[in-house]
Order: sequence, then C-alpha cells, then structure tokens
Amino acid sequence: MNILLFTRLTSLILAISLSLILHSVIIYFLFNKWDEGIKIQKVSPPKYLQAKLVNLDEKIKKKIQPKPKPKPKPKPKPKPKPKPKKNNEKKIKYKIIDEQETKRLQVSKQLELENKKIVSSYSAYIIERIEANWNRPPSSRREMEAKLLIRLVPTGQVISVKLLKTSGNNAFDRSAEQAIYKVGSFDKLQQLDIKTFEKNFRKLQLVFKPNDLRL
Amino acid sequence: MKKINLIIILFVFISLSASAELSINITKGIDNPTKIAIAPLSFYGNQLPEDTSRIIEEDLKRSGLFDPIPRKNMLSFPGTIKDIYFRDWKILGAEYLVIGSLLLSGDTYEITYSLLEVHSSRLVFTKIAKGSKDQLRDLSHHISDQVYEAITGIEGAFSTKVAYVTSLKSNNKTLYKLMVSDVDGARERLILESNHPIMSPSWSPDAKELVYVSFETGRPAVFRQNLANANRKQLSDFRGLNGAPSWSPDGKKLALVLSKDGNPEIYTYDLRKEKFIRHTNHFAIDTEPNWAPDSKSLVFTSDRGGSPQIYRLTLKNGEVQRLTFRGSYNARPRLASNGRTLVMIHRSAHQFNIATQDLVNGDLRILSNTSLDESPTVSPNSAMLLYATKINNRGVLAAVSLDAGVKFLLPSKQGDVREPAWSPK
Repeated sequence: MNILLFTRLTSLILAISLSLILHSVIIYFLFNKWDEGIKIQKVSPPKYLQAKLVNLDEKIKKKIQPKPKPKPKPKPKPKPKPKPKKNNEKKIKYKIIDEQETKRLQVSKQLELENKKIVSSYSAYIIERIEANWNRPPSSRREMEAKLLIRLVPTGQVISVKLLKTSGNNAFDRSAEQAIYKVGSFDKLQQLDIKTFEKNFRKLQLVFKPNDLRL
Repeated sequence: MKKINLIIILFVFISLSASAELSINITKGIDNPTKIAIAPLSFYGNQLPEDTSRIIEEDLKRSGLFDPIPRKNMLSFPGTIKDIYFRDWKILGAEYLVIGSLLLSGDTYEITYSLLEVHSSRLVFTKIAKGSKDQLRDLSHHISDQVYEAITGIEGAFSTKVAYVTSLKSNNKTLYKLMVSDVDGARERLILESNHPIMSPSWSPDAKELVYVSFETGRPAVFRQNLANANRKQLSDFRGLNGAPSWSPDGKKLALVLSKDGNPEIYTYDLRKEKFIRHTNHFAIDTEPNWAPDSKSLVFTSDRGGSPQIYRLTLKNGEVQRLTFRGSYNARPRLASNGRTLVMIHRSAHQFNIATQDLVNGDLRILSNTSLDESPTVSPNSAMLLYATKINNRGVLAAVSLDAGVKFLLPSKQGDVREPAWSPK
C-alpha cells in the first residue's frame, strides 16, 4: 500500500514538477523573447534613418521591417512568432516598433541638430579668425569672389591652400591666401572629436566675397 | 514603385552632398596698411648716391596703403632669396618682404629685386631694372610702382611728376615760377620764371609738354612748352580772358575758356589744324573745362543755374547735363582716369573743401579738412589727389587719398605754392 502510494505520489510530483519546469521554460522563453525584442530596438543605432521613409507605406513597412532585425540576432525571431497566435500581439508589436522608431528618429534628429550646431559654431570660429586676418587690397570690389580649398590636420594646422576659382584680380586672390597663411593654425579645432573633424573640417572650401566694401 | 525610386534618388543625393566638403563664406575683412619690409639693397663698392630702399619705403608709406617696418628692427639684410630666414620676418610682423641686389657695370646700374610673401614663404616675383648712373631715383620709383601694383592691384604712380606754380614776394615785386618735380617733391626743376602771373598748368598725355596761362604779354595768353628743350609757342592771344587750358587725353585738342565774344565760354582748340571751336553759348559764366578719359566729353563749371555747379558737355551733340546738385557751390571739376570719380571744390558751411562725387551712385565725400582748398588734381591711377591749401597764411600743397585715409603736406622751400597738376604716366 505504502509503496503503491509512494510510487503514485512520486509520479504525481514528477508530473507536477515536470509541468512546472515546462511552464517555467515556456514563461522564461516568452519573457526572454519579449525582452530581447525590446532590446533589439533599443540597441539599433540611429543609422536606420531610412526606415522613416519606409513607414509611409504599410505594405512596404511589413516587408522591410524584418530587415533591421537580422543584424543584431537573427535566430530568436522565428520562435516567438508562431507562439503568439493572435493578430493582436502582432499589432501590439508593430505599435511598439513604431514608437521605438519615432523615438529613435527623434534621437537621431537631435544628434544631427547637435552636430550641426557644433559644425556651425566651429565654422564661425574659422570665419572669425580669417576675417580678422584678411587685409583686402584697395582694388577689391564687392562683386569679386575667390574660392579656395584648404586642408587641415586635426591639430588645426593648415597644410595646404589651393585656389579653386580666381576672382580675376591677382592681388585679391593673394590677399585671401595670405589671410589663411596668417592664421596658420585653427587651434580650437583640436577640441573636436575626430569623427566630426574628419567629416567636416579635413577639407574646407572657403569663398571670399567682400560685401562690406563701398564699391 | 515610383516612391521607391524617388527614395533611392533622394538617398543618392543626400549621400552625395554629404561627401562634398564644407563651404564657408568669408564676407568681411580689415583694411589695414600692409606691413612690408624693404631690406636695404646689397651691393659691392662705394656708398650709393641715393638710398634706394629708403626711397621705396617712403614712396610706399606715402601711399597710405603700406606700413614699412623700420630698418633698425630688421634682424638681417638678405640680398638673395636663399639668404632669407622667413621666421625672422614673421616675428617682425611683415606680410611682404622686398630684397634686392645692385650691380654697377660701366655706367649702368642693374637692380635685381624680389617681392616675397612672408607667411607662405612664397616668391611673388623677381625682376630686373636697369638705368644709367644718375637714374637711381627713377629706378627706386620704378621698383615702388612694381611692388605697389602687385600687392594692391592698382598701377603705381610713383614715377610721375607734378607741375605747380610758386610765387615769392620781394621788394614789392612778385616772382612767379613754373616748376616740375617728382611726386615726392624731389628733383625740383624750373620750367619758367616771370614777373607776371603764371596759371593753370596742364600736362600733355605723353608728359613731355605743358600748356599754361602766362600774363607776360600784358594779358592772359595760353602757351605750350616742351619740357626737354624749353621750346615755347603762344597758342592764343584774344581780347579778354584766355584761360584754364586742359589737354585732351588723346592728345589732339585743348579745352579752354575764351571771353572774346563777350562772356566766358568753353572752346576747344585743335592742335593740328590750329582752329578754335566754340561749344557753349550761354549768358552765364562757363569755365574750368576738364576732359573725360575718352576725350569725348568735358566737365565744366557754370553758374547758369544761379549758383556755380558742375555740368557735363558731350562734344558730339553739344548736349549739356548738370552733374552736381548738393550744396550751393561746386566748382573746379576734375575727372579721375576711372571716368567715375568727379573731384571738385565743394562749399560746406563757410569752408571750401575738396570733395569727390561718384558719378554712378551719386555719393558725395568731403576729403579735406582745411578751409581754403583749391585746384585739386588726381593721380593717374585715381588713388590720390593733390590740392593747394593755406597753412599759416602760406600756400602749400597737400595730398589726400581718394578714400580720405591718408593726408599729408608736401613741404615747400619758400613762398606760396599753388595750382598743382599731376602728370600722366
């Protein structure tokens, strides 16, 4: 009797524990999947700016949507999909993705704006340095325009000056080149992080066009 | 599908524009005098009769556009390009450097000179100038012209001359002298001396002759004189006023004022045909004609509007057009060689000042701050003008740049100096 009861009990415990383990595994997977899904969205870098354009069309979005996922972890995706049988979950997921997308866009926009601010403030610094050193010859006229290409190194030092387009007046062109040589080095550019420097300030086009002259 | 195409195109454009370099506009600057160092010429042999580098330095300084570095501050006197330590000149703040070496072979001087940019350590030019033994000043002015033009983009006018009239009172008599000198006042030469007034000298376009008014015959008459051989010729001897001759830029005609028919009118005189042609016919006074650079029209002073104002006369059709409208007195017009800047005497309050009027945009600027200014004459490069004024009751010549940035007086040795005329190139 006792033994029989014992065996029954053990089988019961076994069954319960097995089901418990099974359930927990399912729950674990479920939760784990969701978690990872969110993580993928979070991690994805703001490079995916193009997604915004795809969003305009529902069909295209559905087609394109899986694309960004395979990059971080392509494996886990097929698993969670068969489990949520209802369409609702899909919708929820898309909603979440949409929200993430817009958030990501906002962040990338902000970053871009920040970047623009940095570039324009350092451009203003370059303008100020050159204008303080540009001694125009008296033959300069308002309508004159010279275009120069300068190359800088991350220390801010000017390593080359090239005339791209002459103003037609040698003295004017020379005064523009002189202004850059006089500055010699845009020291503040050292504060820039290397990426921003490389992207914007390695090569610079300068247009000399005096609009403060009387003639 | 169209949308996708559009997106692709957009994407391509965005990525393209991102790869182009950043473009920055420089729209303002400073207009300070250019710092320049003129190293003394290197040469072998005896002391030179003239300090050429000093003459160049003075020339450039007087233009108002240059700020020469004092010789005593220089750390070295390089004679050739390979002797230059650009760092030394950078420390001095020099933007440009002029070096040169002089060679005397027989009776000719040969100066090899170079203009260099200090900050970029670049050579702008190397040139050679040759001249005879007594031409060191001419050589110096020539170098000044070359340096000035390379840096400013304006032709230099340091090799030009000035004609003017001096008067000196002694023993109740006044002695009048027509003189010619370099623009820096050096090398004064006497052209004509008279006990009667001499007035209104005007240069021929080749700068070899002068026309002027002399009272030596008892009444004003226009004379023409060759400077090299002193040959003179009387051109007019009419009753009344014979005055204010002005040689046309093409060299063919004179414009002048004659009152033989009653009151002063503008005439031209054909130098080849020796014929006078009358151009104005008005009961008011028409006087002080001056040529436009194309020799096709004249500017002159007339009080036909009730007050002295400046008019333009087109010779082809005799059309007269009023040019000045501001103020109750504008007279003695001179047109700069750019054809755009009108220089004149303008009365503001109770002062007579030199003023310029831009004929294109109408801007009027008063350039002088003395009170009895007269006879403005413009340099051939339209950068400076000379005029006569009174300082301590004495007539002296003064110079001002056309942007009013520089002003200086030309020293006169004795007596009053009046009626300057700046020579053509």
